Amino acid sequence: MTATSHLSADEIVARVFPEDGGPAAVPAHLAGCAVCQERVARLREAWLLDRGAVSGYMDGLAEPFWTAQAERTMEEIRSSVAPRAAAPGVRPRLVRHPLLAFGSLAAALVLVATATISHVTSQAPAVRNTVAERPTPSSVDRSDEELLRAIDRVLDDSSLAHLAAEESL
Amino acid sequence: MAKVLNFPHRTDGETSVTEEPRLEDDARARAERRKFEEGVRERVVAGDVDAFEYFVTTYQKRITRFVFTLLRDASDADCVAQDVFVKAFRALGEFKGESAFETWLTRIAINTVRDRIRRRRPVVSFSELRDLDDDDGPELPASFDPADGTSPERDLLSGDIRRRISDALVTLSPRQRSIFVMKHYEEKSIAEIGEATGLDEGTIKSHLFRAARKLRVCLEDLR
Repeated sequence: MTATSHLSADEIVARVFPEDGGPAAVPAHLAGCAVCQERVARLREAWLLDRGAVSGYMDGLAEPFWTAQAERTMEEIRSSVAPRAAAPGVRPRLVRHPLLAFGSLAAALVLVATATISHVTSQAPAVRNTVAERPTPSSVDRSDEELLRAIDRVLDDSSLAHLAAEESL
Repeated sequence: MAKVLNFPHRTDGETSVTEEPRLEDDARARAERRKFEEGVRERVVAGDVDAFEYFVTTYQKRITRFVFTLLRDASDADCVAQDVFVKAFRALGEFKGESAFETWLTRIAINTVRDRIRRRRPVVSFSELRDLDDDDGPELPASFDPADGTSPERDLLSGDIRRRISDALVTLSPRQRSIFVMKHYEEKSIAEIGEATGLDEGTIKSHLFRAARKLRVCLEDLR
């Protein structure tokens, strides 16, 4: 920077907001330039006013505001603690209400059973299809089936004869 | 409300709950406060929830001011300050006393504000606080709009720059904003900022530099 050039915006900001906390070195130009001094002063003043506005606003909050804020905060904290404190009491409450506990258990079992039955039912057609797709039974299988049918017929006849005997009595 | 614990300020060997501290040595006073607060912390962790009210009443003004400076929204600041204490209460068991309680609380405040900024509506500048106050109910007083009173033109100019500083601040990233506010509004040292943010000196200075550059862009026509 030459002695005649004005401070850049960076330099003005650095004058007001030094990074390391200590006062920044005063550029030679600033010492003799009323325009730059005015710009630095204006920015510093605006910043101090902004800081003062924040402080002023906070200082203007009346004591009831702080009391209310503290009460609200503590209420929220207490309410957040309450459910946690109740958690260990879940088991005794169930023991105190056995009907509720067993009712819930029964409802759960019914639900599981319903789900299982519907699951099996929905798979039944697939099973039938699988059976239908099996290869045709061999001659040995066919003779076995005929034998079984003959036994069925004999059994049917004997049961009818037995019923007829009972009716005659 | 339960009886609030008070830090026992020492006066000539006596214990008082009303008089201001008269300790010559600040470091000693800080050490005594830390010890006292450790006792309160232990009580809270042991289940004495009401004891936490000591922390709320002791630090609510500082935390609310810090949050308000960052957010520039009175209603948000009130809510966030409350959140900070609730979070602190929940995490109190994890606080091991490596730093002062206030520093730990400030760290929670920074994180809470950061989260708030990320999911908040467009920021309301401080200059618009007067409008906000209409909706905030009777608890929040009218906004403070200072002027140095030397001349209407100068007031107008200062007001404009101040508004632009305020608007520029809200364009900073949450971390930059926190660091900038701690440095230039709360006059914390770099070491204190480092303790509160967990960042090293170089990183803090880098954030301050970048924040100043953004401010410069916003105040370009000061040239």
